[in-house]
Amino acid sequence: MSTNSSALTAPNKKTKLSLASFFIKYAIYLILLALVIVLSFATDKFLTVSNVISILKQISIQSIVAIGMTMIVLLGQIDLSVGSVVAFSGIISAMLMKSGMPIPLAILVSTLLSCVIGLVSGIVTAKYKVHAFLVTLATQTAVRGMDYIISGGYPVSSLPKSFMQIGGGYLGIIPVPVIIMLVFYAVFIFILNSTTFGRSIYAVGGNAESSRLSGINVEKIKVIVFVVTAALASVGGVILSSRLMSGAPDTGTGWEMDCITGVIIGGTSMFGGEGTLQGTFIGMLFVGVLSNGMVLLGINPYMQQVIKGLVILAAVILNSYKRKD
Amino acid sequence: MGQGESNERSSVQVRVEMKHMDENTILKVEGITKTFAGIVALDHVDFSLKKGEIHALVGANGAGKSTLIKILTGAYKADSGKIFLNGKEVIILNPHQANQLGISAVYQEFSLINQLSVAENIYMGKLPCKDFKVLKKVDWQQMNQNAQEVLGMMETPIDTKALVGNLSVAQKQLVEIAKALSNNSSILIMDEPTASLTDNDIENMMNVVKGLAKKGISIIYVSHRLEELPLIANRISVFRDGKYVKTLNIEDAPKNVIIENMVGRAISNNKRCGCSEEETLLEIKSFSSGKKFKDVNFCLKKGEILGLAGLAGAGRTELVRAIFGADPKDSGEVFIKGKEVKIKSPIDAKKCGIGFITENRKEEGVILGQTIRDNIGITVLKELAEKLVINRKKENELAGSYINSLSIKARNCEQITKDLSGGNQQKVVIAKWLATHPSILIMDEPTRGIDVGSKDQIYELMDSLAKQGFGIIMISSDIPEVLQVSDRVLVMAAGKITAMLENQDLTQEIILNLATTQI
Repeated sequence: MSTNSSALTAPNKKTKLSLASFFIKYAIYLILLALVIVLSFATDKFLTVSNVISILKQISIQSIVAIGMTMIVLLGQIDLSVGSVVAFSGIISAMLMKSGMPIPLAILVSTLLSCVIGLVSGIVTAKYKVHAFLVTLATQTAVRGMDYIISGGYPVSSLPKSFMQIGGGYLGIIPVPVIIMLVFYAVFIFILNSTTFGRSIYAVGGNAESSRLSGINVEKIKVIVFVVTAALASVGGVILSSRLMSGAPDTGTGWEMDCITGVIIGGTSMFGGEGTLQGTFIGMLFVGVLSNGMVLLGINPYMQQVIKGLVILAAVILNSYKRKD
Repeated sequence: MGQGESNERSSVQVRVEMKHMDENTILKVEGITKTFAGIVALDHVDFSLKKGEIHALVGANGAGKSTLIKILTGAYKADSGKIFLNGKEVIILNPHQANQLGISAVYQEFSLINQLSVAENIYMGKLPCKDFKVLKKVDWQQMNQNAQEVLGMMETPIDTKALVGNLSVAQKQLVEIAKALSNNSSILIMDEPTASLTDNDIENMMNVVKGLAKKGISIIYVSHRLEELPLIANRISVFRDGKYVKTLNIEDAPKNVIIENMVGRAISNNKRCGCSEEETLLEIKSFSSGKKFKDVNFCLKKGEILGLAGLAGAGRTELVRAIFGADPKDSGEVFIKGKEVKIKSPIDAKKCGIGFITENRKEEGVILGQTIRDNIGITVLKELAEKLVINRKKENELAGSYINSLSIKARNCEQITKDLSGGNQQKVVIAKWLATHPSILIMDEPTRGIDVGSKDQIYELMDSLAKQGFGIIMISSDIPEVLQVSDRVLVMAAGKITAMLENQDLTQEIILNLATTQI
């Protein structure tokens, strides 16, 4: 009885203490806001339309890949292979276009082939109960090797001119990749919040055994998430090769870590089950703003890395407080 | 008033005991009380142990044996009461101190590290070292020699350099004992030492234990296997509901006397009137799975609550998990309403109209970090969705209706499940299964760890579900609960069904007897 009544009175206490927990809950938003204000005063260039658009353009491709990473981390897993898949789909689509295949078909085929990579990672992770860190460490290495073999080690260039529109085009003043990014975020926020698939991801990440005993096909959900993540990495690869007008085997290197950084700063728990795509977007934006600001302030590039590292550390500590709260 | 009386009594006892505390009594416990969050686990418990005796502790689950052991080994601190060792009062603050006082325990779960040698395991945390200036170097020779001495005292030939991972279960158990003895223990506490051993190994281990007793080591021996006690124990102390009942010499304690003392509790007479109908809902035929359970057959009728009684480790949970498809089985057939069904996963079981409320609520029941609504909706996501998109309104209504009908105490359906009391969490688990409109509910220890008020509500709920025509299988280790709730009682022991009884004129004695029978 006493536990019940305390559970009932708890909310009142919380609303009184809300200032601290409000700050912790929305810390990343508030810190981003503070950063924007500081940078606006510190440099003339920061708060200009062209600079803001350039930041968004800068983060757009990685942010699309980070959508997949968010779902993977929500499952309590990790996917190290996304960077290799970005290069893979860039090379495949570039080669197909060069050989005369229509652009949409080339994109479709390269994405389907990327999905096969995700399928392999997903099946091994789900069926053999191996942590995805190990599985995707293997696929990351193997796919990167394939990237070099397929491309012969050189960028695949001289692509059809019209392909440039995807990565380099503008709609009014807004770059096409930014629009693609916003559409993908809108679609996947809907999927995560409102579909059986999205809710199953949260359930499996929150407690896989409980979900299994509740009649959710845990293995199927895991496999699908890995396939979708590979597909999103492939989309990123296509846009990148369009922007560069070539598919190169060394693109996407280290992107898995950049994506994980955005996901973690955005407040998603590495243990799974907790986190949002909105958070990931803010996390990616935060890193983008920080990098942009440091460049504008003329900070030494090596120092920029140190600062970025410290920011990640601070975000991780902040999120651990959030969870305790 | 009762408190004052017992204090007075115990102070008298102290005086008497101090005189009588000859070299024969090594350990004496007086008036130990321990409560957990208001629930009394031990209530003014007395206990004494003689030098070189094997003293068995018996009692049903929750009788207080484990709590007493944990107090003696310093894992818990008693709220009140005194402990005398060799006539001197001692205060045991932590396990390390207990070891120093010569009290060591061997638990059911092995604490050994498979990758290390026998000798390293025995001297874990106290490796004999040669001291150099900066580094300490392990003295392997000394360690192996010491380990050999300990194992020699037990008359157990085990190679001290062997890897523990390569030993049999019985040998590991013996290494565990050696590890406890290596503290120069004078008191050895053993918790269910034979639970995981085969008959041959049990005999061997008993001989080792008896040998130790002859050498003057006193042994506290906890066991559920009442049959084995005459073979090993000198005396038996019975516990019931956190209270010490009495101590008997083994000659005066045949099984029926022990059981009589273990039970004692009056059973409330509001047994269910057998309102079960004759229609058979579920039939289980020749279910077997390795050593977990063998050739199990039973049926469940419509409107019936079937109690599944037995001691821990009897294979009840394993059986129902196999029925539900949560674990694989070797063989067995399931019939629902006369039709054979293949259940290979919980997904199949759900389709067949079976719901499963697991015994580990927090690990397997709820998703603690998520809302009540999300937890209730998890089993029926497809039904809540139109073309894969979940209808939020429908979902809120579903959660709201169960919050009302099961009287779940919560602010609203968006409260995080972690913040609910145990009883209310259990109701959330029940709600998520009721949402699937099942005809059969399997409830594994449905009232474990929840407060008395919620318990009664869950009994009422089970009763009303049965009246609506549900078939319920309830596993419970609390025999009075089984007798109170069930229409029929199925008793399991060592993976087999030892009896199937109508709940008429049943007593705790009858059930305990069947639960401790090996066939």
